[in-house]
Amino acid sequence: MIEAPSGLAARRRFRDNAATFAARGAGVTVLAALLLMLAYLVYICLPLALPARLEPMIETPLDTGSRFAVREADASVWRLPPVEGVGDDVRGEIHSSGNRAALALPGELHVYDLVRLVDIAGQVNGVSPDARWRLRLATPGALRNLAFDSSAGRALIAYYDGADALHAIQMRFPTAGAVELQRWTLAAPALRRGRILLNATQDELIVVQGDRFLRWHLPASPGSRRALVFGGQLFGLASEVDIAAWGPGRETILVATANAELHRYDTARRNLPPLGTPVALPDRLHWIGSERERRLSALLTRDERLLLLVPSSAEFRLRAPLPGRPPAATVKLSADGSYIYSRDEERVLRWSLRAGSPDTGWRSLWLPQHYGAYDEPTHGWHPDGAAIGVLPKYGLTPLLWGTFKAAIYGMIIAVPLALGAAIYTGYFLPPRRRNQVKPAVEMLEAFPTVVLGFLAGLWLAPVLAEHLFAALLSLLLLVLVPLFIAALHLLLQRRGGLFLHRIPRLPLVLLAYAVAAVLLLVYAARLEALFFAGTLQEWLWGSFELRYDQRNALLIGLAMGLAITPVMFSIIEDAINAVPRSLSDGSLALGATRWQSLAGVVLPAASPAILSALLIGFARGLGETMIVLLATGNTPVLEVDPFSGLRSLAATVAAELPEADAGGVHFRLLFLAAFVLFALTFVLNTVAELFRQRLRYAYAGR
Amino acid sequence: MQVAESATTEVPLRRAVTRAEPLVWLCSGAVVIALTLLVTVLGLLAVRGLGHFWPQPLILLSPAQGGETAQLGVILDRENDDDGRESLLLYRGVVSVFPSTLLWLMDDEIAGRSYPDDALAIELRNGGRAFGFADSLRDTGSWRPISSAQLVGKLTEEPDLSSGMDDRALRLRLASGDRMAIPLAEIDTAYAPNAMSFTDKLGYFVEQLGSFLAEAPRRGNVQGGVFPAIVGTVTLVVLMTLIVAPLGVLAAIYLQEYAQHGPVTRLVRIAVNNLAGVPSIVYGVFALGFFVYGLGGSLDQLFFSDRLPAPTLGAPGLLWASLTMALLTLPVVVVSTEEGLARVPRTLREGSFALGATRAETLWRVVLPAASPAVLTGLILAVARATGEVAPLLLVGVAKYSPGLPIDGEFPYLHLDRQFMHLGFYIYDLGFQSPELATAEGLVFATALLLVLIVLFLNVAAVILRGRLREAFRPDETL
Amino acid sequence: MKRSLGSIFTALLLLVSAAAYAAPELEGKIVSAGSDTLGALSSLWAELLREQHPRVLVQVRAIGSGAAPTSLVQGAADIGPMSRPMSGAEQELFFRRYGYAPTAVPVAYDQISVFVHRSNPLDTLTLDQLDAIFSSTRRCGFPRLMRDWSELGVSVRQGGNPISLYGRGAASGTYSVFREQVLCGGDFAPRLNRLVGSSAIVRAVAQDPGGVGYASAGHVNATVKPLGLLDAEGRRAKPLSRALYLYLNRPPGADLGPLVGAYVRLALSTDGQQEVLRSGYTPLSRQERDVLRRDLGLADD
Repeated sequence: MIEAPSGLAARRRFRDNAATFAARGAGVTVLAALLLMLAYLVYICLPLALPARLEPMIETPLDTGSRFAVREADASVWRLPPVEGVGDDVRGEIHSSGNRAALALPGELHVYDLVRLVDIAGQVNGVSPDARWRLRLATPGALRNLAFDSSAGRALIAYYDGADALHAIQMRFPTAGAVELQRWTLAAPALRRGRILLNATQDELIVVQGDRFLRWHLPASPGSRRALVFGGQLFGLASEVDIAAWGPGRETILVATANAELHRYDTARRNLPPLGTPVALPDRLHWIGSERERRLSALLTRDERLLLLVPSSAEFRLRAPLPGRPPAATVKLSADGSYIYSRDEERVLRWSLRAGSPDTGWRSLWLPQHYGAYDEPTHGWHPDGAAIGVLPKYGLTPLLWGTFKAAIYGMIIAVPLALGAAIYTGYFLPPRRRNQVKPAVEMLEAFPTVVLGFLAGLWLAPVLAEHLFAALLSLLLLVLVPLFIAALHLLLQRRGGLFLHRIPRLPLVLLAYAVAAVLLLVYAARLEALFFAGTLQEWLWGSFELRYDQRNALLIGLAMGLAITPVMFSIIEDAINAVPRSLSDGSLALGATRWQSLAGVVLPAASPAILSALLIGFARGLGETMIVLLATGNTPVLEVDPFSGLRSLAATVAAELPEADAGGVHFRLLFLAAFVLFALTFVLNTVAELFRQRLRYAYAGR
Repeated sequence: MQVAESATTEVPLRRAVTRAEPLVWLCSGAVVIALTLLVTVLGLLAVRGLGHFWPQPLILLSPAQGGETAQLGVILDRENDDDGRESLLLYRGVVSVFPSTLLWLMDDEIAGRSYPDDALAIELRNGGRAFGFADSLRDTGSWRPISSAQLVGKLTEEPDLSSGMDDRALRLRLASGDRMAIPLAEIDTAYAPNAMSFTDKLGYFVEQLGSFLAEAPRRGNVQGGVFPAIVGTVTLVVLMTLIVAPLGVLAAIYLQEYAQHGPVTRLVRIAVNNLAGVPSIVYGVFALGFFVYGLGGSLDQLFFSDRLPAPTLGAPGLLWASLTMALLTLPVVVVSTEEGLARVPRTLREGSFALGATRAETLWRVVLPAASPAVLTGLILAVARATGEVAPLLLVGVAKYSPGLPIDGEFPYLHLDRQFMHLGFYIYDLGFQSPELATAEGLVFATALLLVLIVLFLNVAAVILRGRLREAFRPDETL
Repeated sequence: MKRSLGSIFTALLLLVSAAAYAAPELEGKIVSAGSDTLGALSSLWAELLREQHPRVLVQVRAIGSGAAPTSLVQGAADIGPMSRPMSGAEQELFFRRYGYAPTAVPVAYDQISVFVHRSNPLDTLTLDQLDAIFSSTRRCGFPRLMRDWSELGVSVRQGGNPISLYGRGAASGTYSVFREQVLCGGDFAPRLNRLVGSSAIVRAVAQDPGGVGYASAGHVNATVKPLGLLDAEGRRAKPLSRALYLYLNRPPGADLGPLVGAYVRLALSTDGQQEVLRSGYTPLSRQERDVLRRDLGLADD
């Protein structure tokens, strides 16, 4: 008898505690979810801000009995199989590029695939003997200034022979079948001792000797679109040339001079014009290595310091002494930039460059860069370069610009609409009517943004383009017609003393709008012809060079306006309605008109909520994705006018994240875009919430 | 002198202007615009979407002197050039193996227009539509002439006529005069739209609408229905609700009933409000990185390591999509529930406490039932939001074509790892990527209409519920 | 009696045909993720495969070619349709993950078509002009950028009209191929409208008298006017064409596995290639298909 109640009590207490625990847990979970999101976004973005770090040196000893190559792709060491007929004591010259290595022996050349493993012994990989091609060379004398470049399906070899003739051999490795060879010879080149540089697409040789250059385009197919051989001078050099080497991605040529300057030359232009101003270096250089897939160069100064430089933005990302003092001639940078290595007969030295994303400094992301093939420094968002052997360009400024542009044009449409509708519904409509109108307006929320985007992009865009004048005129009329009615009302009152207090405003305005629409349909074309002697677009282009883009900010403003109106309307209306009626009644009793008591009493009282609504609406506009993705042309331009396009952060993320390589720079930058959106909306919403709480406290006391 | 004069006339004018209330008129204009927009967009979707299922008349255009052959088809678009000449965009169906189904025709290329009663529209099983006139039929070995009306009748009477693989075929006389043989097995339906009465058309309309809702898409989503997309959307939303409902309600209970008014509560409240304002795409980004690649990848290594490197949960799929949506809609549920709890009069709670009930019992038996309409409202709004949201799904789990439904008769019946089709994504895909946009456009409008109607229905339900709630409990002035 | 004889005969026939189809019932799920150019075609193949093997699920995600290598490397897809060959960097990524190269299977050829509004009097453009129109870099060497139709000697409306550009976004193979073959690797002008789908481009150009766009020929219909392309000497240029691939993860020496094998076999079959033709692409020749089937170990049909 006694136990039962106490057991019950214990169970009840347990349940009560469990409920408390669960509720508290849920509260904490919500907070944790927000913090987790924040933390995760930061965690992904953070490596972007970290500069590279130089790790301690790794030394791999080589046994002296065989030949070795270091794979450029990842600085791994590979033992080459012995060559029949040539003793291992004839070392030959070994060049590696990508996943292949070339061995130059007297009268012959061997190319190895450093891919197929035979065995793995310690840190050294073995090359399978069948992954080798032997090229017999019928050229006189030893090969000089050998250059070797290899990519997935092909390789290019270029060298001077003993008679100073320039040779190029292209190898193609089809997935099935024998290797195809193609050879070219330039019998008497203008430059006879130059450094040979092979371009990324392996169809051009650039020879640099002193301040002279020679370009030799290899005619792969007849009817080539470029001149074949072209020579000239590198301009702007004030001092003797120390080194000429490829810049990042082989888009530019970097030339280091004796007065410790680094010059860039644009290979996209035929005459190799200088790009931007030279970068001042702390010391003269004795080695330059550039990455193929990132906009980054590694420089070794004469005082043995390693510098990492983003040449296009002149940002230094690392300055550290390179221990080990490797001979400059043997230093190389692995293709992905994760190792710097040097080799001699006995050993391979490797310094790994850890972490970070050295090519995404603040200046590189947000400021205009002097890229190759451009006359001016530009912002560019071209994240896809890697696919075709061109470096991607990650300029975030146009995206941020577009984000704000879309939100602002959305607000231009939405604010008057939401504010007006909320004021009328919340203050002027009788409660019964209000209860019908308010939910109806809020139903605008029911249009999913993908539907709005689809309608704006496929249905509204061409209509707007064809009837731009009528559309702009109708926007104007939406404002003018109610004013016209007011004027008419005033006139009636003055003439006949007729002043109606209870007028059915909504039907009347609707009727007036309908009449205006009919008039517009009939007369718009004639008016346009009258004013602009043609169409409005032609006039804009002819007079101001203002381009009318079919996918433009005006279009986004309309669609986005529709999307953010209901949420703002809802908040503002609630706030206006929440202002105690006694306040405005008092004002009316003192002789103020309804509008005066609204403007003087109600709106100020509701202003924190209105401000908060504006901020929330703006935040919503910043993050809106589908409308911008579908209805704009996603054009990363920096233009203000309503007839040009835009590209927003959110739309970029939606379009590009599924295809970005997880963990890569592009992936992280898209996370950065998401983080920027998160941060912007976080700030806006927090401020809005503070405003709202102020309002809550203000009326809590009454 | 002049100044004084103008001042004297201005005062009454100004007063009069204030009395005429131009700004009030402007505000009422805003209301009218908002409501008109609602009706216009709905109307546009309804007309274009439903119009897609209505049989289109087939027009026969005879060529002008020296022109090409006659054309039979459906007019998709008309345009007037600067000289006022009209040109027509004609959809003429399949006319050869390699189809150029669309054709622009200038006014002066057309001599006559007619709507022949025996013009036949044939929906093909695997490739668009064919327009022509029935010529002859081979159903028992030899070709016998047949009229269009007879063919339509025959196909309705013997539905199994067009099934099975054999050499039965229909010979169609095209507008150009050429003849084209179509195996009966290829024919889905055949009808003569120009000869149809209104009731016939209505029947056809209802049938088409039915198959739109109940069938799977065909021909790379260009034909067929949206059934898998409906199922995908519904499954997503149901799963999301299962996750968000307990969490959201509990969090709201914590905020309203348990939490002291201190910094933590304020932080949680601000967190909730901020979560509501975070753009949906950010949730998608977070979910892709954290759930799919992070959590999913780890779970795969723990539980599905035998299937690696093929991921099970480490790839976009239903589970992560519904979790994302739950996170996205959490604030909606929390805010609405909190509001509901606040409206429950304190007297009710105090009565319950006075009778000796514990806090949990009071909550469970008294407060929550009283607040249940608000909870339901919140959930419905959450469902409405999730139904229309597409951006995060682009990242975490929708597929262009996925015939396997997320729920089926195979163990484990609910396939959380599967990708799924979604109505919103279907609009995006079909509207922008389908090669036959000119003809599939109606389908996009229809899907958009369906999606809007679902969301609208949910919103209206929420409004009605909210209204009930407000009537049931007069607002507590302490809010 | 006659009747039962007939039914026995039928049953025998069924048995025989069943024996001919005696392949074990395939079951399972494969994911195809990649090119949206191949998206429609992939869905068609998926439907066909489902008709043959009702218990095989093929999920098609059509985002852009860039998604294929990523998904293959992460193992999120079994098949990576791409509308361009994988770049060296992407291959390297794959290689680093698996230790061997991905297998590329060409399944169709696609031509990229350049088109204008149907009222545009222009019939041809040279490739250099195209570069000057679409790029902001002019890497092919045209002396200036073109932004007005009057610079091409045509007037689409009175008083000249700006050229509006339409194309795909960076995830698309069409974009990359156009960039490589027409822009000489340069950058597209920022004001190029990067629409999310090829059909949206056709549609936008059809509605914009000043528009010029490029898209895969399979999406181009009579609502726009395709342009002839000329090389620098005014001869008809080599068509802008590319192979469309399925990329697969096949360890050296291994076969494709039953599911992926069935899918690829279907794609290379006569039925599958018929769908290629219907989608507006150029099918592979019989010989090419035979070679591919032999290389992939699919020669048994």
